[in-house]
Amino acid sequence: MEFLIEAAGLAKNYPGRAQPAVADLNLRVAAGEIFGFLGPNGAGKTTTIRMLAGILRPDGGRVRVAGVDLSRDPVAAKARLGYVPDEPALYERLTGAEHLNFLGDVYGVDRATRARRGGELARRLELADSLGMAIGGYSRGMRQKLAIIGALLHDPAVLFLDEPLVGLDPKAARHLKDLLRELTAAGRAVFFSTHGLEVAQGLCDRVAIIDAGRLIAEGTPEELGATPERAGSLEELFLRLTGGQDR
Amino acid sequence: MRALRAAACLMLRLDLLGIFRSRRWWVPLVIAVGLVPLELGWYGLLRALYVLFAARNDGRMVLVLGVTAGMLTALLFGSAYLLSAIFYGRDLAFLLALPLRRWQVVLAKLLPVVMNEYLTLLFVAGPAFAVYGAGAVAGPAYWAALPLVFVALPLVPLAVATMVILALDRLAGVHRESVRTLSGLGVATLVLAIQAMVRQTQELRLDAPAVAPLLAGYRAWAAALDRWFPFPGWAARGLTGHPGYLLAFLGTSGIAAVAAVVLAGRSLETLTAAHRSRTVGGDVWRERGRLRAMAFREAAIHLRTPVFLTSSLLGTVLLPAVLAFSILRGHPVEGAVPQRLQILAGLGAVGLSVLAAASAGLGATALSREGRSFWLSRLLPVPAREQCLAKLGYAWSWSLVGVGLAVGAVSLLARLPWGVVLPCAGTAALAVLVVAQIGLLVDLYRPRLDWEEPRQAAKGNPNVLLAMLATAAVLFPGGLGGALADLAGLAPWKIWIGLGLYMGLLSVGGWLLLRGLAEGAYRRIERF
Repeated sequence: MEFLIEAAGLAKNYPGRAQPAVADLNLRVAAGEIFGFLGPNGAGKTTTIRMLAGILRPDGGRVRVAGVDLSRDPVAAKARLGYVPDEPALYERLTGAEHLNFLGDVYGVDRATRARRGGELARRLELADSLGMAIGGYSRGMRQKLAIIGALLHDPAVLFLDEPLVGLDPKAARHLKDLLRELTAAGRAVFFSTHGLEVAQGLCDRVAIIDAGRLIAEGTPEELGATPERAGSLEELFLRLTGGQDR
Repeated sequence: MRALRAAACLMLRLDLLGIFRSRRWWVPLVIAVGLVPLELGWYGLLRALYVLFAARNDGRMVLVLGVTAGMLTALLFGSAYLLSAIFYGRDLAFLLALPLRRWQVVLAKLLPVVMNEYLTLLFVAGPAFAVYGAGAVAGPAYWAALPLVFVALPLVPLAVATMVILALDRLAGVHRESVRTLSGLGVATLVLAIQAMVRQTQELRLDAPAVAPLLAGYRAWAAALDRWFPFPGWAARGLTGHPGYLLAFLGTSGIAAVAAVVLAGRSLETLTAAHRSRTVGGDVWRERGRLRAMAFREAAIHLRTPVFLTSSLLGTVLLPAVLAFSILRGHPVEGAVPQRLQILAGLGAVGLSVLAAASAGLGATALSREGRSFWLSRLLPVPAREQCLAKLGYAWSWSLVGVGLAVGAVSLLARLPWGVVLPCAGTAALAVLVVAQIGLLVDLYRPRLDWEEPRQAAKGNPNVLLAMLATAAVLFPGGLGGALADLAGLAPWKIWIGLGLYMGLLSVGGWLLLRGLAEGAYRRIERF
């Protein structure tokens, strides 16, 4: 089995905080897998994703993306991944088209490919008519869509998404889920964090639960006791493991 | 009409109460106190002019002067008020939702603007009206017509300002803030043009021999004004017993005001749209090389953010441009300049270029300007040194404009030979490269990325000051060395070669330092 995301002993501490944000985190995501990353607020989901995407520097441990060590060859590793943050702060003064062209230039996507792939994604996410607008005038959902198109423009082997469904309308959310399935069907790996347990249960091949910076459960939804017939069982597990019922 | 009255009153209260409710309520008081001596001086000048005009049986010229000054002030201030009220008024969408017609919305928004204008005009045109009324012992007709003229006074300028702003809005297209930048540049151009005209006509001298021809020529000036901008003449004649002119002035002002309100009302939807959509052609996909793409990003963020653009324009371009302008309008040195002074003049030009580049702070805010979007820079598969190279190149190219202006101005003033101009320009170009490198190094280690307003990344960014101090510390020894060598009688070519080597070594060292440190510094940046 080919693993496109490998994290070993990943750790992160923020100055002034007694507890580590992430401690000794190990996980692997295979090609063709949608991996859901769950956890309560402040559990370390965003920090983990940012470290996996090369946005934050880990204090310990190693990350390999599509077989490339992120700390040894960050440029090569970053060329193989796409990342959509939870609140995409984009260049407000650029138009949507300029933003995508900029990314296309930087990732070395030729004009024909970016027209085909970018155009198709923009049509599916219903952003094509707004590409001429300055990003400063985009709604949150539109920014999210643009960030998603930008992350997929160079056809990355690995896609990281932090709360990708927040801010999206139901139609766009559905399109995104379809897109993620298509990506994994084509052998890519998708790693995303979410608060939506139903989404995780319905979409993910495997899930992991993180709490206080530590991985506390990992497996397929079935392994964790959640089956389509037992709706809500992942929620029960989540609440039990993270102490949510007591909080 | 009740809704209009309520909306207008609300706008007025918000406008006036805003001043007194803010913690800086004392600011307008201080300004008012500061205006007293200015106002007394203005009154005294008008009074003296009235005496001179009256002696030539032309006392109403003081009214022409007062109305012209008032209308120009109304145009300048009105543009600012209108931009603030219409483009940046967050309440426009709220007003549009009320049961008001569009022209009523415009009226409600314009009321505080017009009130502000009247307050301003009291100080500018008011003294002229008082001087004439008292001096000519004006009859009841004058005092009866005066309020009408005063009420109509700002209408034509406001209408002109509205039309200009609407036209600029059409031109600016993508972003409304471009309108503010364009307006700012327009005002700056206007001020420079007025300055140029004044300087071209007469030096400002108040001795008798200078005043006499000025007064002798005022009729020609008034005739020209009447031809191009007849409103002050109409107002003055209307106030001094010519009802036809009064009607013309009031009628034109009324028509202009109605036209402006109707036009602004028709454009309300587009004005309230936060960001306009630029028409995208059939093919939006364009390809650039990677370094060009990085440079494009730098240019787009910088040029399209008004506060970034104006800050750098003030430093890089305006400072040397104003100096160059003043110098060019002055008296160039007669004959050849001694060689020793040529070196000092050249060093001065280099110093001015350095000052301009450092105060523009393009290097010192290179990372900060990205703000919270910096995560993209961390994500991109582009080495940090390459990103820094694009930032450095962009900052340097801007600084070179300042070098051209500063070196050009000093060279013209001191009539420097090409043998001095060229090494001076080369040294200045290397010096501003060092300035950009120092700024970038400072910003690499303490970028201000978590800003809410772009102003905090530019004018409110201490990195600019820190980089200036660091630049002074690094470059001052070179400048001092050059000056001392000149005083010691060293041959000029040796001094320039020495300075060139000094700057060259610094710039090579600066680039090596940036190359070496960029990757680590980028990795350490985590707050954005």
